[in-house]
Amino acid sequence: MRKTTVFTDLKPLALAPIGRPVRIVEIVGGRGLRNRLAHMGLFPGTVVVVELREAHGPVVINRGGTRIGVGTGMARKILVQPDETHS
Amino acid sequence: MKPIPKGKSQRLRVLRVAIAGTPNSGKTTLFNTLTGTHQETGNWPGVTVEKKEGVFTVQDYRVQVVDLPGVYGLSAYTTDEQIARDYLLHEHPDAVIVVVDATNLTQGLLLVLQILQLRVPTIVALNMMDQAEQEGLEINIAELERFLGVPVVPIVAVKGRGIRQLKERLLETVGRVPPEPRIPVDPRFEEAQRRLVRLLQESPLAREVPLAWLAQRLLVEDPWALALVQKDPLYPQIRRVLNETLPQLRHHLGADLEVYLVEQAYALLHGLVQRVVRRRATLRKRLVFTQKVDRVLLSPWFGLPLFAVVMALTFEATFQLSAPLVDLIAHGFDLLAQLLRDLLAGTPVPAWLTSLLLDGVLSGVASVLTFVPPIFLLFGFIAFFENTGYMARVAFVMDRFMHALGISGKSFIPMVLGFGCNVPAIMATRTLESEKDRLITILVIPLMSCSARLPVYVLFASVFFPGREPLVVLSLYFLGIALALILIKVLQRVMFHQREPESFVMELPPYRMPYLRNILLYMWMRGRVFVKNAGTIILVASVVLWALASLPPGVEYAGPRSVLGWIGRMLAPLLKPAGFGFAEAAIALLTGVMAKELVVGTLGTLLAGGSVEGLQHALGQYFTPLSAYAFLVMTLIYVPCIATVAVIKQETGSWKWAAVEVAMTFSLGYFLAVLVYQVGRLVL
Ligand SMILES: Nc1nc2c(ncn2[C@@H]2O[C@H](COP(=O)(O)OP(=O)(O)OP(=O)(O)O)[C@@H](O)[C@H]2O)c(=O)[nH]1
Ligand SMILES: [Mg+2]
Repeated sequence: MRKTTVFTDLKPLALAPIGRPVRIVEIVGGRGLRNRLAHMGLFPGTVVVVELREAHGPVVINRGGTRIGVGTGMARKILVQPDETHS
Repeated sequence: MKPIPKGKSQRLRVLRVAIAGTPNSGKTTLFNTLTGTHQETGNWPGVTVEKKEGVFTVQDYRVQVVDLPGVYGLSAYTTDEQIARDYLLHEHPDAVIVVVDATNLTQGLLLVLQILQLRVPTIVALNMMDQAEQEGLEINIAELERFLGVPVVPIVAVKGRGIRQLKERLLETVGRVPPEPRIPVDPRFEEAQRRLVRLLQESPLAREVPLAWLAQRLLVEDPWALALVQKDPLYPQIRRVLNETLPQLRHHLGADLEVYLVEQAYALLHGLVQRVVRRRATLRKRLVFTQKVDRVLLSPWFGLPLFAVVMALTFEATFQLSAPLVDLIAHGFDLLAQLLRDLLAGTPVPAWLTSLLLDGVLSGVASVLTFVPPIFLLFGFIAFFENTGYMARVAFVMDRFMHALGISGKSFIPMVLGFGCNVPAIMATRTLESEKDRLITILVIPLMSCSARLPVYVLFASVFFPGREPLVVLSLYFLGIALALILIKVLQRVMFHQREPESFVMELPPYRMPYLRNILLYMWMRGRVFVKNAGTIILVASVVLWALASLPPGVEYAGPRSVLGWIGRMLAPLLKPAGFGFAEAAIALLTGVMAKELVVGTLGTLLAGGSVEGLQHALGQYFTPLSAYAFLVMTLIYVPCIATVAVIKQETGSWKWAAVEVAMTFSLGYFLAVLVYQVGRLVL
């Protein structure tokens, strides 16, 4: 039962709620992209907060005090879900 | 044997040192602080990535430094990473200085760990210590050194703090292969790695690359590493080990083993940072301030109009401030030319030589120098906005629009700078990460109407479209923009067969107050490169132009009997379909290649003997409003000025792209001018 709720909550970072912690679940993209994000400290499992977001535009996320701008294209490839442990 | 030179140089030993680090950690600032103005810029072979080299001396050593491109890791997915990895691996530098941003330790140390795996003598320059102190961070340097096993020197690159210690300890570092970093990984991974190392010990590769690292790269299936062992006689055995171990490792550790390794390193460093960094009940003020400002700057509703205003003011300030200097230079050279002409008149120096020296060389030097004030000032403004952190925000705001075009938001700034002057705009593309984006941006910048084209627009608009000048001028600006946008799409398809738009992740650094010294140095270094490289080409071109305009001997300068006049007459029929098929127009366009504003000057000389009112009158006899507009379209697009062509060559490192640009813009300009004229004739 729980699993279904989890998956309906899955959405791209580009559509994530502002100001609430979300957990990165999956990165849909090639090796280069996953690796690039990993070097910024963004792995599946990392919790981030969306600070700013424009509809269909780029996103600013906060990861433990570091602010990262994620471009429009990438924000669509990072899938997140609300993080219950932190809220 | 070569004789040993006598004197001091006898004792100077040469060391080769590389500066590595994450983007924006202050590598270039450190490089500048170390080398001062003893540096050269160029490109890494075959790519449009900037290479900076310089020298400094310490004790009895002459240290040659190279500034590597900023990278987050050494996986070599990007050109920058390939350059950095290849350099560290194959050039065997005597030491590498890894610049780490103290306010962002984890990320910097991640790179340090990866470089340590390459077993190059390493020293860490812990930069931005001033910032770290301001943010209330206390870093236990001794503990950090113990952990890494290499020297760690705190510095403030912008103020030159800690540089002496860095130099001293750099000498200690040379020749000392650092200990291998111990990143805890799953025993199964370690076992697979050991098996590969054992195998590889027999291979000739053992002498070229550190085996533990190579084994790791093989396990993450790095295409580069796989290609490296492909030629090895042991390849079948290596392949067998990989086939045996990988499915199991993936099953336990996740499908992407590379990400797994980075995550392990991150976890290790996270623990380390907790131990070595103490955050005093902090001043989080700056972060909060930055967040507040960003709320405004990063919203399209405020951010975009604000940027438009900022750029307008920047251009205005650039040209207001440089105008008196440019006038001074122009008048100074006129006076000088007059003086020399009078002086030489009384000597046996032949008239053609006088003319070569004065009309060719001297006026060439003058035209280089008149470029200098606006270009230096514009570089100054660019450096200011970049150093505050503002440019990163603009790139961010523009990203959604540029994304639709398939290009990153970072390309926007250089394009906008193109409205001021194409030359610094093209040099500003150096901040673009993606080489593809950079090349495409360089090629479309010349379509941005630079300020030198404005006088031509204004003159024609006032003669042929009185009362509607702004509309005409604006239409040309928009035509340029529209063409640039279309061209971006076309180039992506044709040159790169690119489907996926480029995107980015970038840190949004807190706003910082820039240092004047940094800005001045940036202005000086960039400006110097322009004068040296582009300046030479402009000079040569102006002598060639002089020769064309004054040969054969005795003809009137640029007159109908000169070579230039002859070329103009040859070209005139070609321009007929565009509505301005007469020699003077062709000649004006040819001289416009030197600098676009010369189109006006040349027309003035040829059609009206130099008088402005005369020219306005004369234009009416040669052009109709329609052909005048076609001529303006041509002026906008056909062939960038010679300085721009020179700078394209300089930035792409090859004449090929400069030639592509000339051919492309010429055909495009010609085609559109003809189109305007022919369609206009049918419609009107
Ligand atoms: N406060 C402070 N700022 C610094 C220091 N060192 C560099 N900066 C600033 O940090 C910014 C980035 O410096 P650069 O030297 O361009 O960094 P880089 O590593 O060469 O960057 P890339 O070439 O883009 O990878 C500039 O605005 C510098 O003025 C420092 O010690 N303290
Ligand atoms: Mg740099």
